[in-house]
Amino acid sequence: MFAKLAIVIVSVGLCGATLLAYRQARIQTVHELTAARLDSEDAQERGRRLAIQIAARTTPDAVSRAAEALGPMRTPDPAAIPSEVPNAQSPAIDKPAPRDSLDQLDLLVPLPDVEVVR
Amino acid sequence: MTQSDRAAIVARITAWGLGAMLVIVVLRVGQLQLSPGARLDAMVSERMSATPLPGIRGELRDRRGRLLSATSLGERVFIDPEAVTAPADVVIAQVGEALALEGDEMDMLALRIVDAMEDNAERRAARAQGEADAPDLIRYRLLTGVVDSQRAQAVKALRLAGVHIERRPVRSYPGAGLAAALVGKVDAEQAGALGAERAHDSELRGTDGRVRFVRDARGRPLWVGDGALRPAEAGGDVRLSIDIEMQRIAVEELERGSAECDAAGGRIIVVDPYTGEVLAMADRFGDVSGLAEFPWADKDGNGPNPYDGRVGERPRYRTLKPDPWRDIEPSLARNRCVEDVYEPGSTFKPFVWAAVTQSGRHAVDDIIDTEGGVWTTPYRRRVEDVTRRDEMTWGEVLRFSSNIGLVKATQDLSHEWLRDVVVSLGFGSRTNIGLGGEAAGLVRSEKGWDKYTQTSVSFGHEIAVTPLQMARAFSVFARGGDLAGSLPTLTLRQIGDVRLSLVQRVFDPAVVVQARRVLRQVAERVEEKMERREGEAGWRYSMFGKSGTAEIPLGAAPDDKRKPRGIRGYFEDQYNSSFVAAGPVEVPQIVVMVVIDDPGPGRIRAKRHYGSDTAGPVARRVIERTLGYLGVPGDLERAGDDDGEAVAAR
Repeated sequence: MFAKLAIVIVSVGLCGATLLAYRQARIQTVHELTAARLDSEDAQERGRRLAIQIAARTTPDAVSRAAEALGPMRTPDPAAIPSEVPNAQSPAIDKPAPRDSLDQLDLLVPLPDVEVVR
Repeated sequence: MTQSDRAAIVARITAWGLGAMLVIVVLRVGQLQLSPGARLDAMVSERMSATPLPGIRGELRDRRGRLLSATSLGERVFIDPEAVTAPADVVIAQVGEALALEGDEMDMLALRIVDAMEDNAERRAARAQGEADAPDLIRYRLLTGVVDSQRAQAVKALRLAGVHIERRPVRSYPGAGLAAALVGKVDAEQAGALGAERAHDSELRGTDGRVRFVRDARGRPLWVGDGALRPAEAGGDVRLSIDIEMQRIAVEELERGSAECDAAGGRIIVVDPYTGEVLAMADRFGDVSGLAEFPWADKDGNGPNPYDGRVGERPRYRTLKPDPWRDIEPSLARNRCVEDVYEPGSTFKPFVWAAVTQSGRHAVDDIIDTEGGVWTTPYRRRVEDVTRRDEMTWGEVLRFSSNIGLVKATQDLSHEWLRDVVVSLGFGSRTNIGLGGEAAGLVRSEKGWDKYTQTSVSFGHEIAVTPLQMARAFSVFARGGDLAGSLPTLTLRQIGDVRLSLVQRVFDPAVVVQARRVLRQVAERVEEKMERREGEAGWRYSMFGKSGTAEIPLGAAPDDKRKPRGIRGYFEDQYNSSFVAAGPVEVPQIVVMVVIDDPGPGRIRAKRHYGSDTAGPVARRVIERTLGYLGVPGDLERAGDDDGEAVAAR
């Protein structure tokens, strides 16, 4: 009888211990999730602050000052550019087709997606 | 009873006893979990704390994605007076040292802490005396504004009971310096209060969330309670139509032009005529000293003669309404491009000219008798031209800005017709661009529109417009294709494509082309002057435009004052000089509107105060630099300029 009782008690104890272990593991997991979430929020916040700092230091004025500090701009010497470098010779920029023309009165070519209400 | 029977009884009793104890322990655990007592509940509650999750406000960016304003989280120090255990002087000294406060700031900190504690002592006493309306105890008193994270960490490290740090959204404006009035500002609750922040508030605003943490003995978050997380939702980002680089170009050239003219101020707007996007908008007050207030006369009209002496020797009067907030906080400045109206003068003539041309009354080559430059209308009103000729072609009437030619062309046309043209160009109605305080301008009512108005409006008087309205209206000449002659809807927000569903047609495309051709000749005169006077030449881009010079109205007299006798309703020898332009001529990409407010006496004496002398060069330079920045191929580039020598020479 005592042996049976001992087995019951030990079994209950083992069950309890197992449940506690699972509970602890769950708590640990939730804690790590929470910590990860907080870390993520901190990282996002650092990102936001860095973006603001970068923006503040790369305003057109700041870039202009930095460019001036480098000295006058020089036109690259085409001869100094190796021909095998891809895109070394910039393709000529095609002049866009005029949206109208003073000479040809080419005005009635409709632009796409335009609904004219007179 | 045998020994084995006794053993069996003992074993049974022990088993029942242990079993009962196990049941009791299980029940107790269940009771503690489900219904803890008040004392335990209080202890558990201290380990649970709710934290607000701020919904981060969206970012404002310029059209190329440059950050204009953004929100980050700042930290503030607050005190819970009920939780403070250390003496007040210790708290003040330690917190003040951690925050590196001195002088008045230290005094303010001490005042806040002591006040909160004394208030609570009084409230506690009131409660003890059983006062029913005794206020609740203070559990939150802010000690600082937003502090940097280093100082916040120093305060945290003190581990003072009752002294806490809270995180709070802070709006920063890293790229908005040149466009402060456009970008605007948020209020203390992070709601848009001014400018684009206000106009797009509903999109930018985030939704706050909330989380309840279970914390350890040191207050560090252990985990989130079940169902205790309501996530915050960040607001959406908004891209404005403005381009910060174009804004810089506009501001630089406006400041240069205003300084060269010793002007009291200047205004500039750059617009994409196709999409209606406002690319840049700025206004400046000039650094002019010694401006005098206009000497209004008393009720009987008696007072000093305001114009005793020659220009330059007599006082120069203040013509711009003061804007005291401008120097304190740029975003609080009055946006004079949308709030302050002016008489457009001759910059209004292209609209009247195009309307008359469209009506068929005159063709470009028709000869108009301009009476040698001085003419009296049938109702005895004297009209003069700056360029005096016996006759001009209808095209020259616009090119040389002939008042007489335009008055003659409109005097027999119906008042309703001219007023309809003015209204259909958007004058007298707001652009509804979303900026606060926008003025609608002034256009006479149908009833009040008489023959004097008909004459005045022909050359841009007796009408008040904002620079923004002028930029919108002039876009009818800058739009091409099927949009030529139509009025855009202006917007401060970037538009992804040129999909427009509603276009208000004002002029026929053929009329637009004729007007543009004449206006190109006007702009060439500006370029000739710039080359002759400043040696500025070698432009890469063509432009067309129109200058205007108009007197500045005195405005309403203060209470108990009136206009001095013999003084018209305008400042004498003080003008608003303006130029509205677009370029390149064949494929206009931008419209630029410049107003130079009140060029200085030196310019007046030298007769170089006209729009073509003051605002014209600003528009010319802005068009050149802006189109270059946009990468538009130059339409005036000569062969041999490709190496950039012409550009470098400028």
